[in-house]
Amino acid sequence: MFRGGNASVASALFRPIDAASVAAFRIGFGLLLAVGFLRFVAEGWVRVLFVEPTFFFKYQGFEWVAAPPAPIIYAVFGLVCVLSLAFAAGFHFRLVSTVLFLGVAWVELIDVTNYLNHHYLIVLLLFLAIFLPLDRTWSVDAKRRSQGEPATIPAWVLYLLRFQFGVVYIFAGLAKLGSDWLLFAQPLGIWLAARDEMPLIGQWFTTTWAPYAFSWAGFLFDSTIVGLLCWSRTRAVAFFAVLAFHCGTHLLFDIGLFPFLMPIGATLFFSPSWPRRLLDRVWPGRFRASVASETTQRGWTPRRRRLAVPVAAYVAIQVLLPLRTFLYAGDVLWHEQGMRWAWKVMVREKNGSIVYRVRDPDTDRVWRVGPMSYLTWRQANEMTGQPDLILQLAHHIADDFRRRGRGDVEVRVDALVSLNGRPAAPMIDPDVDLTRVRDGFAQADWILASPDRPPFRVAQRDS
Amino acid sequence: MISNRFSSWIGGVAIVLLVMTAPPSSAQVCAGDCDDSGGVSIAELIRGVRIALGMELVGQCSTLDENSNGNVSIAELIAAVRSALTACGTEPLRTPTPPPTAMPTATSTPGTSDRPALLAQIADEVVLPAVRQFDSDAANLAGAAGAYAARPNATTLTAARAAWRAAMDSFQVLEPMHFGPAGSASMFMGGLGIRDEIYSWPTVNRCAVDQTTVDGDFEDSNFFSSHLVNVYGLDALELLLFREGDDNACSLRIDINRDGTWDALVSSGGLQQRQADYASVVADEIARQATRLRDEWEPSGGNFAAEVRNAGQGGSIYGSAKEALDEVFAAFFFVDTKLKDVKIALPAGINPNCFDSTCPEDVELPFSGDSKRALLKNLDGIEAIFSGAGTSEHGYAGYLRLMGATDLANRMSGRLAASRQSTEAIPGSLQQAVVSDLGAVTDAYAEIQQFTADLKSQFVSILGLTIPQEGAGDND
Repeated sequence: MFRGGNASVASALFRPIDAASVAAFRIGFGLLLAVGFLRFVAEGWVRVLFVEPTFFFKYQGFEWVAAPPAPIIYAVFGLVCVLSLAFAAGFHFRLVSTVLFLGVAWVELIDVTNYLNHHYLIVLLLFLAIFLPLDRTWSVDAKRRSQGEPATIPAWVLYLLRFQFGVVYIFAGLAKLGSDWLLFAQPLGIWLAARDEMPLIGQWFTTTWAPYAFSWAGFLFDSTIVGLLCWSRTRAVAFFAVLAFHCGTHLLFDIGLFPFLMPIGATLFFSPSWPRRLLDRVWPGRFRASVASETTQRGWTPRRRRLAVPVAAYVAIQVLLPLRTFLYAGDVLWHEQGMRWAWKVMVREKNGSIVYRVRDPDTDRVWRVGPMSYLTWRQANEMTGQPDLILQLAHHIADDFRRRGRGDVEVRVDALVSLNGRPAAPMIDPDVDLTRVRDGFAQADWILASPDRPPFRVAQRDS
Repeated sequence: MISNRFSSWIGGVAIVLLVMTAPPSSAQVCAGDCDDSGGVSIAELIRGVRIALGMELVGQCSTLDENSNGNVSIAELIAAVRSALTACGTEPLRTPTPPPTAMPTATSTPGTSDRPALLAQIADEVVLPAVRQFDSDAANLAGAAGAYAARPNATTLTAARAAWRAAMDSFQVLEPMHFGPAGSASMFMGGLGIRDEIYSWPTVNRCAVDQTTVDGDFEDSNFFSSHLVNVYGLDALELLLFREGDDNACSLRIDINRDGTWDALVSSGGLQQRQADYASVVADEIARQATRLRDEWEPSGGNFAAEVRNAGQGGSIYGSAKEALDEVFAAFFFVDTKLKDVKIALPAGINPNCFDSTCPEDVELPFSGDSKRALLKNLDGIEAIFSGAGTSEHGYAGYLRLMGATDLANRMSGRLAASRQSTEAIPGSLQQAVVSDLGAVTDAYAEIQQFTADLKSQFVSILGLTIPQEGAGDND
């Protein structure tokens, strides 16, 4: 497997490179996380997302993750905020990364309605940080280590981080490769029309061309930016495009840390020594690289082979997980099977009306229950377009009726959902008793086919 | 040269980004208005960037150099961009706002200029007339209740009941419009919580009203500030004016029954006078709150109508017209969360909080028998917002048509009409119907559900509305 010509691959992957760029990434990422967690607390979102709800949607396999009492969840946010600073400083880096990963993953696993693609990316990056030597230079740990240790890392560390960011862009581009996005410019048409009060440029958002221009620009950006960042001749322009693109998305949409995280990630595509060169211009002589003297073994040593297996497995998972979407027939934006962990960023506008019909088979009595009986406004809005969450709440309603002494009930749902402005259509088979359905990875036959008419088109004006 | 132009452009973009996050400038001069035109154009902004980069002289635009130090700093450029955005501090840069009553014609198209027109119509032609009507009816109610307290007899009681009914009718029309001063401060911008001071339903405590009748706390000058809303308002007044007989709403374990004070009041023959006095005090407070609500909306008072009409412009509490429309929509959600799910579903036994097969005792207005009437008045208010009122009659439906969603507008209008028809078709009172003709009640529920299904799905999507409570957290 790792023989012959692959020896040169090994040499390329394990050649020592300057640790400066990953150190800069570590510092930027850590500081961004600290700001992000502080913002979460300051905005009152900890209370809204973790304290106010009385029911939490669980991830498959993580049903055991419980929401802690309010003081503990606030303490966790305080802890991860402090740890993010320690992460940036490279202080006890491996231990800090591990605890930070566990803390953030725990918070993320509490409620599915909190899932965001960039939160998932943060969890993945923290997971990688546990194993990657991002503290090799410009860190408290590096200061404490012996002076003779070189400030280098094996090249594969940088490649793996680049791969992680590359995966996001490429699959985000792939997710836009559909008729709603490219032929009908939705959901951007709806979103831009709602933002036409934006100073200076908002007046153009209701023109015919603007949604198409934004849709195609977004698609082309996501699809090509990794290639452009990898090619040295286009890298600088590509990085400027990254900044401009994410500035635009930051101004237009509430997407939190994402527009800041991605440019930080994009810096990894520059030369590993870019921070030294930059700092060397400001303070000449103080930040020179010390890479050249290090020697390295050639070929696949046993240690390298042992290392390559989990790294290759991680890479394979990151590629295959988003591709699972294609195993399911129908429109993923409608049935949402394979939607999460697949970098389908900002590609659908879904709203709907969910009313459960709860029937006592003994008396034939029927109650009608809205999600708001169990959920917060935010949770109810998030779950409306996600069939697996509608199913979870159906089970919870059945459990609740049982607890209240109303026996074993049947739960059906009238889920009328509008996708990208289409007229609302039933998303779940209204005749199926959801208490008899178990969620799984197979194609769900209780989810109805997506409506075949095109999305809504806003009446436009040209100017 | 190319790089200079490139730098100008980058600088311009950077300044625009900076100014988005910069605090408002308190400067009175119009920074960046090089030609003294009273505004700052894009060309003037670009000139500013070029001056800052040393590509042009400060003398080309002296108003940029606010501190007269011969240079143009980033802060001074930001001030210029802010001038551009606010038309030199007079208003945000935007297309002219049409007059309040002029909705765009069907040939125009949706956009920035259309939301203010819709908001102006809602404020001036729907809400303002409704709060005026309620203020007038509440004043009549206070008069009638005072007459009843002065001389409690069948005639004055009948007059007080008629006045309550008229005031309740006009208040029920207002129920789907409780954004702004009527709404709670925690949920609505400009919220003063006036709605709950007038009518706290579904927060009602009939036993507490009977306890207050006995202990006479309503005579205390601090009564309204020292007691919860559930012992006064239109709901308490319904009990005081409409309940027949001498029974009270408390269990035997509650003090007025345990210690016999209720029975003593009844046997003394003073119950009616006590209830009439209590009713008069409550009605006076309702009238006071109704006037307060009206004053908050009136141009001669708090002028909240202008806050709505001018949303997104300088001085309005709403940062944008969309923000104001979101709040109107949040109040409009009443049709789903209260009208459908509580007013109808609870007594009909299809809300799981009803533990028996039906819960006729849980109708909104059990003593007056006006629950169905209240539903119809709610539908009047909903229709006024949705279909429009006054001279232009566009409302949400007209706005949807402008957006190109004529099918949705027509469908929702039809469903609203069907909701009214099926509600009117409920035989007798709602309390009787849930026992005698449950099917008629569930038919009304189903029709309203059809309307709210559209409201919560395609309607929300197309108008890009956000319910304020959804706002927590980010997206992606």
